[in-house]
Amino acid sequence: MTTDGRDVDPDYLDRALNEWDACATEEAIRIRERLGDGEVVVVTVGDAQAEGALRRCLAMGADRAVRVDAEPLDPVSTARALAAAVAGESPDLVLAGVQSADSVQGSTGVALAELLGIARVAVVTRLEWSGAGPATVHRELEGGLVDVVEVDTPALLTIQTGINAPRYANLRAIKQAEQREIAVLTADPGEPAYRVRRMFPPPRGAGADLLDGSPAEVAQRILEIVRERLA
Amino acid sequence: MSVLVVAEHLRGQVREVTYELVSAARSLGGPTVLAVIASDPGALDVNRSGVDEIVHVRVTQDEFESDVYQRALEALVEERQPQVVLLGFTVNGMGYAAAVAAKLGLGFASDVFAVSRDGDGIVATRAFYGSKVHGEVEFPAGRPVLLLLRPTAWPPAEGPGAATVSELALAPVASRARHKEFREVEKGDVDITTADFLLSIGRGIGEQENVAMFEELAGKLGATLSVSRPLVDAGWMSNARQVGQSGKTVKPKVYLAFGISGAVQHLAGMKTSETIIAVNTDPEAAIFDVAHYGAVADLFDVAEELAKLV
Amino acid sequence: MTETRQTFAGLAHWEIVFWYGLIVVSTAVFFWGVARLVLRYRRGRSTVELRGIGRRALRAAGIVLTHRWIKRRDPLAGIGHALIFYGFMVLFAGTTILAFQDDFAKPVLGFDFWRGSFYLGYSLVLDVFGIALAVGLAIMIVKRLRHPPRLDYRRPDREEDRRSYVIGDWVFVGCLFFLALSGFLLEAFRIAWTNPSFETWSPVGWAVGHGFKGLGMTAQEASTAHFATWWTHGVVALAFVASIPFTKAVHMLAGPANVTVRDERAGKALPPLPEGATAEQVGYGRIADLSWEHLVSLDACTKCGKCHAACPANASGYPLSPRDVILDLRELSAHAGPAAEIGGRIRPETVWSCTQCMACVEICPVGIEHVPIINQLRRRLVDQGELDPLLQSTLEAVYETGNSFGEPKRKRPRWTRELGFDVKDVRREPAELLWFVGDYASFDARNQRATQALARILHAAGADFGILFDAEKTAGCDVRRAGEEGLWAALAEENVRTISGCEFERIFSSDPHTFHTLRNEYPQHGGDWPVVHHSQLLLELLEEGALTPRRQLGRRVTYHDPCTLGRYNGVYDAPRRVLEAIGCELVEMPRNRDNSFCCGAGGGRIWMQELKKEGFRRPSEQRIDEAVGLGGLDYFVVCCPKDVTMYEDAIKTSGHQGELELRELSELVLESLGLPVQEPVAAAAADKEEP
Repeated sequence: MTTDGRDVDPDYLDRALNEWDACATEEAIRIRERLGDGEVVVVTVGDAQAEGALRRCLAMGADRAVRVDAEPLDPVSTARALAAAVAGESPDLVLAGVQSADSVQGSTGVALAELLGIARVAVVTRLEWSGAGPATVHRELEGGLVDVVEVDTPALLTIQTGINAPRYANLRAIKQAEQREIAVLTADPGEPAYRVRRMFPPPRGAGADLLDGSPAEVAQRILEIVRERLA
Repeated sequence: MSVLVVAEHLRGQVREVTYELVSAARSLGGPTVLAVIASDPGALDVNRSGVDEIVHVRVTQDEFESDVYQRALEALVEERQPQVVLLGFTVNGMGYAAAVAAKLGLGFASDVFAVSRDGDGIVATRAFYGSKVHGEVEFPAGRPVLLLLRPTAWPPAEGPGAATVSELALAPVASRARHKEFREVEKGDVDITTADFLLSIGRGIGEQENVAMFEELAGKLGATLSVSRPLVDAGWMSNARQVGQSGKTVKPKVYLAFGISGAVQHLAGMKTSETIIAVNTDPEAAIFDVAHYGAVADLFDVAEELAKLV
Repeated sequence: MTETRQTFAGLAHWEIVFWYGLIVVSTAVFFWGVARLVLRYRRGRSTVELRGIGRRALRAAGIVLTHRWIKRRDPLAGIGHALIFYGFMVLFAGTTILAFQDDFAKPVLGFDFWRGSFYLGYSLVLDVFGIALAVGLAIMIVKRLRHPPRLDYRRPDREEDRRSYVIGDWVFVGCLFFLALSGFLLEAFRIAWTNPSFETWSPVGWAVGHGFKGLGMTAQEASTAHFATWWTHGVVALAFVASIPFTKAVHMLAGPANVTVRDERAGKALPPLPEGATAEQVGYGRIADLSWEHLVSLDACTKCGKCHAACPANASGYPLSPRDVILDLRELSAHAGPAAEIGGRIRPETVWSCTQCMACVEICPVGIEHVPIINQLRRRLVDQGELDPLLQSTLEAVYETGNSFGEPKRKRPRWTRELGFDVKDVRREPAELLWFVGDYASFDARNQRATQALARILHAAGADFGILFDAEKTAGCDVRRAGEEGLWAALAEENVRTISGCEFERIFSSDPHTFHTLRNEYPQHGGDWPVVHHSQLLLELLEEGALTPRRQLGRRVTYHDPCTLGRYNGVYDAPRRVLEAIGCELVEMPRNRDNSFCCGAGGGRIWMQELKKEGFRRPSEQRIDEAVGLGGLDYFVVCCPKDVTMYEDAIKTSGHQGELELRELSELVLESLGLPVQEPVAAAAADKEEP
């Protein structure tokens, strides 16, 4: 933890492109490949270290990358930081990951759509679009029901993992991506929608906690854990 | 502390998460207003203990559409001026909550699993850094706070309530993302890679006759049954259900393993599961190295007890 | 009467002219064929540097003349081939001498030496070697008739009609056999016809010729038979010569050529990518991408099947035979040309089946480099993103976290916590030994026990060692062998930078993969240090007396040679001598040392999906079967972390649980020192103080 107890010491963090964003990038590249036309621009917000994730997207096949130099923490501020950079591209389609692996906010994309004033669908598991006009998307609801939605474009879609298998970005391509220029913009994220008061380790210990007791007690604990974990 | 809860419903049924939100609202002291946004709100019975007022928002769309819900919620916030708005951290909730927060400049947090009052404000608890740490967050003073609450984190409110019912008029909303139809995910052909909860069995179950008991247990628990390689090799289960290097790589929210010792090939296919619970008679079993919770116990005894509980 | 014979006895002038015409045609066809091959090879990429061609040629001559490679694991085939080889060479030399005498020495120089005692000696030598040729061919024919599995041309990956291969083989061996027999007949008919007394110096011809006479053959009949046989033998011989560049016989040229130009470190130090390589320059995607040396090697293949028999992937039912990889490439190269897409013939699942264990390269009698070729095919697939999802996520984890477990780097030195003593941080203070621990030895729970055992031994021996803590990254041996060359280079660069900042004398590792790439491949990135394997280090410490076993273990054990330690680096004896020093009775498995059978984890296979097939038995399970077959073993001893992982599992899954246990070499050494294997070593410190 940092000395003020409000965050984790950045030395303990590994940074990487998260799965949802990898899927969103892959989906964008596939659309471009399918249409045989178009440009895929990847945009992120963060310090220079965030460029690693952008380079992976470039190595996968994105055409250009833009970094907004700001460090907002909550999803609404993140969306505000991104809005001008994204609007400047006048995209036909904005794809975002459903959520990030670390914070699981599930909100940045939808907030961004509002700031851009465009339609949006969250948690998309399938996307059909001819390059113009409305797109047809699937949202997979809890319990395995699929909601088929017709959405006007331009639109922002938050992409769920499983929609595709992102291609491998090999090191040769990443090295080549390192030679590419990444545009850096600045933005004001505004007032945060929340502020972390303190962070603390989760109550359970690391590693396998042994469940002791009679089979009935063990079963009771398992059921509690299962219910707690199934969000 | 005035709380506004938005009911979630699907195909004419109120979803359980609605009542969990009511419980959470009550824990903040109330009064609690429950909004029902639907083409026929009166048809949905949401009058449960803990709800003080039910507001019907009549719209033309039968099912969830994010523009409709956004507009309705904005009108509700404007009219009722709640201090706290609670929605479920569900696919629907994620579809519009952040848009409302961004537009109205609300305090906002998602995937919240604990809330408490702190003087005039509230404090929400959520996980960060892949659940490695938890964090308490606070919100800008003087404006409403919108929270998406993690389903199953609160017990659902039970028992009939005595809420008053009112209406909120809303001009028709032209929706930019329109519901067309529902499709059932194909059944029969199981896809263990998308299941949130896998009950996985291995060599430790001993005999083929024992498979049925775990199939039944999985059904009761709402889990999908998966297996380790030896059971597929033995022809007891189809290979669509196999976890591991020669089967599927899975990452469910919960992986509950019975009688799986944890061959490296198996572990490779499941070790990134969010929560791994292992029951095995062998305390040396490698699966305990990756499990978050482990029980060294007779797996049949535990399975029987578990079946009794659900 | 002088001892000689007429080369063209009984032939009319026009017949002799016709004969010379045939010779010209045959020779022309031969050289045209050779030129075609040379042109084809020249289209290959020129990536091979041929330094010391003289030394190479000398070494190749030694290998070919002694048949050192051909006779391995099949001495009878070695003898058969040697008889054919020397028989053919001597008969060929005899013909050359005769041509020299008839067409140059005698007509031009007027020097006639093919007579008298020279002629008699010549006759005897050719007769003896003719017999050798015939016997050698007979051995090969009998071997073939017994249908050994390695000469079964059925492919493991698909059905394919390969009768043409079988026919080609029979035509080749049959043709040579016919030449040997008809040569003797020719001689016999001549002797029966002219009946010179001195021809006892051609004992076979003499005996058979006199046999014919005894059966009542007249001189006239013998003359006629001689005439017919002469022409038949001659025409078949010329046809054979002409066919050499076009048939299996091409190995007579391409084999020795490949043994000369082969990369002596093939597979052991893989070639780096060219600086700033474009996608087309990465690996092999089309025939035109192959190096010219690899193109030569394709023609060297005789389909002997030694690679096919040695391949662990093939033995477990994976869709890979190293032989078929070479044959597929050869067919493409010969028939489809340089633009041919290799992927249309060799499927990705074949390319991914390889464990890069080097069993095929090591046993190939003509020096074919299957492993680096397959590695090149992988490089292209990786570059195109066609890889197993599990391998992809592992490589992504390596890129993101620096280890294949996807663990935070801070967890890497966590195994040191339970030691009860501090391990030096070699980045901060000098140490004699830099221990490059490796991923499996650092992160895997079972392996940590062995790693801790080794640390305790070194501590007890008073060895001065340190580790890199969280600065160590995957050494990358298997990343490279999986075909992700760029990632390997990035890892190597970073590790070389880290190590260069440390003060030490030697590097050691308990992981043969790590040991291998540090020792043989890091020099490509400027990291040239002495590197040893922990088995070598343990042996040193035992021999120096720094370690004294307090008790002889008296266990009956077998030892599994890791591919990267044995075949890759020739370290066979150190672990065996350590076992001997601690009083273990070593019983060898049938496949040991250079013939060791890969556990199945190498080449990145440990990070890929396993085969899904009825009756599939993992290589590691087959290996445990092999060990159990020895009977009465206490321990299956390994000295490779991936082996620990693979065989701990295989003992359970092979159905042999309880019949033998797995031990890592260090664990046994620790036991022999009288130190507990798992407990913290407060006791060890106390032990050391005792006299």
